[in-house]
Amino acid sequence: MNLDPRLYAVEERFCGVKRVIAVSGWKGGVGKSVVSCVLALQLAAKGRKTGLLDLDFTGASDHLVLGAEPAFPKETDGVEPHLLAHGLKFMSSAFFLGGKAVPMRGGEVVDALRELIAITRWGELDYLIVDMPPGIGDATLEFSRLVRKTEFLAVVTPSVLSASLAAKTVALFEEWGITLAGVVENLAPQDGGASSLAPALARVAYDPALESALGSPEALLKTAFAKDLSAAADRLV
Amino acid sequence: MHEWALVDSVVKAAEAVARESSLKTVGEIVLVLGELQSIDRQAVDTIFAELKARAAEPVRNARLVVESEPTVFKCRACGKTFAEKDCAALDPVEKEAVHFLPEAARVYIKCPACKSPDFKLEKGRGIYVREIRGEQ
Ligand SMILES: Nc1ncnc2c1ncn2[C@@H]1O[C@H](COP(=O)(O)OP(=O)(O)OP(=O)(O)O)[C@@H](O)[C@H]1O
Ligand SMILES: [Mg+2]
Ligand SMILES: [Zn+2]
Repeated sequence: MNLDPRLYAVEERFCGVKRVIAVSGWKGGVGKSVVSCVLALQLAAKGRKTGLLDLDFTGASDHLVLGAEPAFPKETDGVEPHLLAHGLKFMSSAFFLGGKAVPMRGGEVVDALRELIAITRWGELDYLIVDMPPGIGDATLEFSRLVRKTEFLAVVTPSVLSASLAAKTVALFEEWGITLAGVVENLAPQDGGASSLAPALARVAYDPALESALGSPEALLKTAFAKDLSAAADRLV
Repeated sequence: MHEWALVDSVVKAAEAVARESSLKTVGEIVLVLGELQSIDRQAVDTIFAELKARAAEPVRNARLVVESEPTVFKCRACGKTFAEKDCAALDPVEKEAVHFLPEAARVYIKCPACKSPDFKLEKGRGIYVREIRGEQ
């Protein structure tokens, strides 16, 4: 018969999580990871029980954005996410990879994703923010299949290369019955036109000081980037 | 023990199969442990005994048969089939990483013939259920 038992645990592992928001945008490099991390911090700072899951196995970066120690998680009846500033719970494959690059094909991404989901104990959360790798590939398909309540938050830039990919992906998701939680326009010029995708959650300008705040949750929360993004946290609660 | 979460998923799988196939009792669950993940077999037995006591009725008297599966890798670059013992031994921290997430092996293990990290785990990665037997 050959059953994968991990699949049978998924429902229970997420039953205490009210909203699961996958931060995507499908284009690479548009700011998904910085948006995921700062949004998760902002929700946690508002007193909402928040988790952050980095699902970009071959390009995990949230631990760098947040300055999280790449230590093994604590074992209980599974593994406990790391506890960061404002009680933010954080899980990443980076905890297991010793700071080294990990080459993975699609089936291996799916296996790693199932493993992480089956063993991580999130407990009660108001929000789980999930930082997705670019594309509509294995991680995106498997995660939205397994965790049916997943909503997507699209990060888009003013470039036609980002906007057109986001528009067609959103259309596909709509047809598919996947909820779009909203759109964050990143690297948006002050005076430029707004994205045609709705609902708009925030417009975030280029912040030259963001780079030097990476690695420190408190510094991140004080950036102009965070100030712009706070509209998204306000709209989600 | 993180084994707890894995054994819990096995019990949940047995409950689901019992429900779907209208089994009155599940007699036996055959669980395979891939050697790569170094799952503590004794822990599996202890946790299973604890969890089945509070499982759905059909699973309460199930017997767990645990089999071990040696790990087989196959290099996608040169085609060589190899085992963990053909590679440099992992240190305890690396082993622990692979125990949590078997894909971490992709960081620490390379094809012994051509050094490629692009290999397939043909057998013995982690846990799976080979068989759930019961009566209707
Ligand atoms: N509004 C902004 N102001 C300044 N820098 C930004 C801004 N948005 C993103 N960046 C920077 O751009 C780079 C790419 O961002 P990030 O890694 O979050 O993108 P991504 O979409 O997650 O990429 P990937 O597709 O690789 O996952 C980072 O160095 C990030 O700090
Ligand atoms: Mg990213
Ligand atoms: Zn080889």
